[in-house]
Amino acid sequence: MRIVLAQAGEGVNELALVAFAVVLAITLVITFWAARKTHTATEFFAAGRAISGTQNGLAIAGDYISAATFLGFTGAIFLAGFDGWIGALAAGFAFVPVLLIVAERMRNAGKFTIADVLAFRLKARPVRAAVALTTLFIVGIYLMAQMVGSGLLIENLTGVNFTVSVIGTVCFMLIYVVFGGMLATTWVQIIKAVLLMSCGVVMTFLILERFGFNPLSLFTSAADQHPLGESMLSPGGSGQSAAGLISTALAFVLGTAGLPHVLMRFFTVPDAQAARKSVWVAVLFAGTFFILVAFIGYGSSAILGRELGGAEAATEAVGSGGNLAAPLLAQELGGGEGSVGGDLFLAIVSAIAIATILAVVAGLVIAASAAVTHDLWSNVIRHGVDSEHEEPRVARIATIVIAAVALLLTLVGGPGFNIAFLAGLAFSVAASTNLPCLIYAFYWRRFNTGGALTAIGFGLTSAIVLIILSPPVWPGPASEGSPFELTYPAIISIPMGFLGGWLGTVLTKPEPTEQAKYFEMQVRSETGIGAEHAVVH
Amino acid sequence: MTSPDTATGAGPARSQHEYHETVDAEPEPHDWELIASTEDYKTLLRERGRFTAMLAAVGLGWFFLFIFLAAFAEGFMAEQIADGLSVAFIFGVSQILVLWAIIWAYNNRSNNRFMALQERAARAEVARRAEADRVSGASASTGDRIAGTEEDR
Repeated sequence: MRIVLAQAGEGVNELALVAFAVVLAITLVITFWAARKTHTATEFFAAGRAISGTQNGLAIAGDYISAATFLGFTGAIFLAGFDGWIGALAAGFAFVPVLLIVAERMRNAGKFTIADVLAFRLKARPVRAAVALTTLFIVGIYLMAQMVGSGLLIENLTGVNFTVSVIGTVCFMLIYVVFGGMLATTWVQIIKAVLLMSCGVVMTFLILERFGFNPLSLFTSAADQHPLGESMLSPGGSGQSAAGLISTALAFVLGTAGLPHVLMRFFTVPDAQAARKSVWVAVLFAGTFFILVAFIGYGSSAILGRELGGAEAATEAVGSGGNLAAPLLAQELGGGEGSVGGDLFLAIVSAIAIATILAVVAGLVIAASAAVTHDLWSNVIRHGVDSEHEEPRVARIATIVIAAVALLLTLVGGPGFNIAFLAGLAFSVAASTNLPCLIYAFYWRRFNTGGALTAIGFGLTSAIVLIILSPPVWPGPASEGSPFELTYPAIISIPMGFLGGWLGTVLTKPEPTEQAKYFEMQVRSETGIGAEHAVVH
Repeated sequence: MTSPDTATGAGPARSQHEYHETVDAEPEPHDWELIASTEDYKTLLRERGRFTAMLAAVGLGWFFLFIFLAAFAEGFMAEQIADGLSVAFIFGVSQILVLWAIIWAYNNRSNNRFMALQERAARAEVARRAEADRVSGASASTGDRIAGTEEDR
């Protein structure tokens, strides 16, 4: 259901558009600056490896505290209480596998993509092709989810029509990526992260102020306003089964460590030490934000319920998934609908939320472009002729093509696409394909190409099949029996991915060169000796 | 650039591993087996492996305890310590704190201990190679080095 928050009597919320235009202008300036420094492949895909640990940390935090988390978790807490917050905690915890397993080793052993790391000791052509395809699949789904979200958000917050909104999003995103590459993308994320965090801090402050800076008073009020009453302060509000909860947690915790566009950020720093530091900065930032989200989420229940005339009206207003809870709350905090402060705050929050989506979409497209250009084109098709100067050109073309395809699919699918399901699928597939391959490649000497391909095959197939059989996708109302009960297939597909990796390895012959390469890969990834260096200007 | 495969020292069939022709632009090929055989390297693997496993166990344990209790012990999680403050909420905040502690601990140990081991392992290789050069007198390992690797790799 669509609620247009536009100014009464006008089709388009001009204030929001102005705020949005300001944010866009800033990002265009960044792009212009970055474009001057983006000529080679290393600069295009990895920002010359000159991003500092702190900067990268903020950029990664930006990926985490995206519109999906800010709007999505706030909405989830608004609707279901504590259960909505569990997702945030799971997403935060994902930093642990990222740091302990993946971050440093990727930086030490890879160039631009996950496939680089795997191709080290496995047969390059089949593995690159397989990983590039899963990357495109994961990134593609996530991209569509973000674009649908962007279209809906812009439409709801500014009144601009869905199709125009989506096309506009894609055009701006293309400008960043094609001209500014990873450098522009990174800085847009950093600035957006800071803006969004500031927003969160201000909102939390204003919320707590209404309750005398007593969080407990906020919580009891939130419970009072909520149909579930006090039980929204603890788990169980969403009606999700135990297996469903575990599956969701697994998908978020393990999926992040396999998301191509997040992992790619680790190639943008000078060395492994900076990679570690970026995880620290990211987790401080994102962790703080997730705590704020709890207050904002409960605040939305407490305040919107009261101001909008009861829980029912509020639930209707926040739209499906509760995505509008945060902006509506901002409006209330600013002074309420129709007030200057309210409209202004709403406009600012809306602009930042939309900019957030732009930043994430840019990062996704670069990851997809790297898979197509560096993995498929340079290595599989062009047989390893790796030109620092050819790749950027191909990358730019690939970027435009990828964006166009995603745009078409989004417009064809329309606003009806179930975004939460798409994002969940992306996480589940990432956890079930990329992660098993990386873990086996780093730790298991016997692992071979057959194992990698089987891991990907099992993980991908099981995730897709189970998603089709799951309640959100299977035809008929969700309450009716769909063959598979859980929303996320992670609890099954992740073990399937690992099983596939093991089976494929033991059933195929070990290659002598692959075994020998294990030493090299291990030493490189564990020590950083021989790692790709930063660009020197 | 396509260079002869001086980099790997690991054997034939390098056509499967085109990646190396693009990555291994260092002038000096590394002796991976040598590095892997140093005491410092083995210590690094052992210590870091144990430390990582410990942190992972603590972190995953604490987190999945939270998840399991949320899934199976809703009553316990719903108990309120103070009016409005559920066990679940405190438990949830503790997850973020433990998360911060783990990340900090890993970075701290890495910067103070593991990095030193890495550097020593790297230096051991350099020292042994210098020794080997000195002993052999010839510069066979350096003679075929391709000069002029690009800056911007």
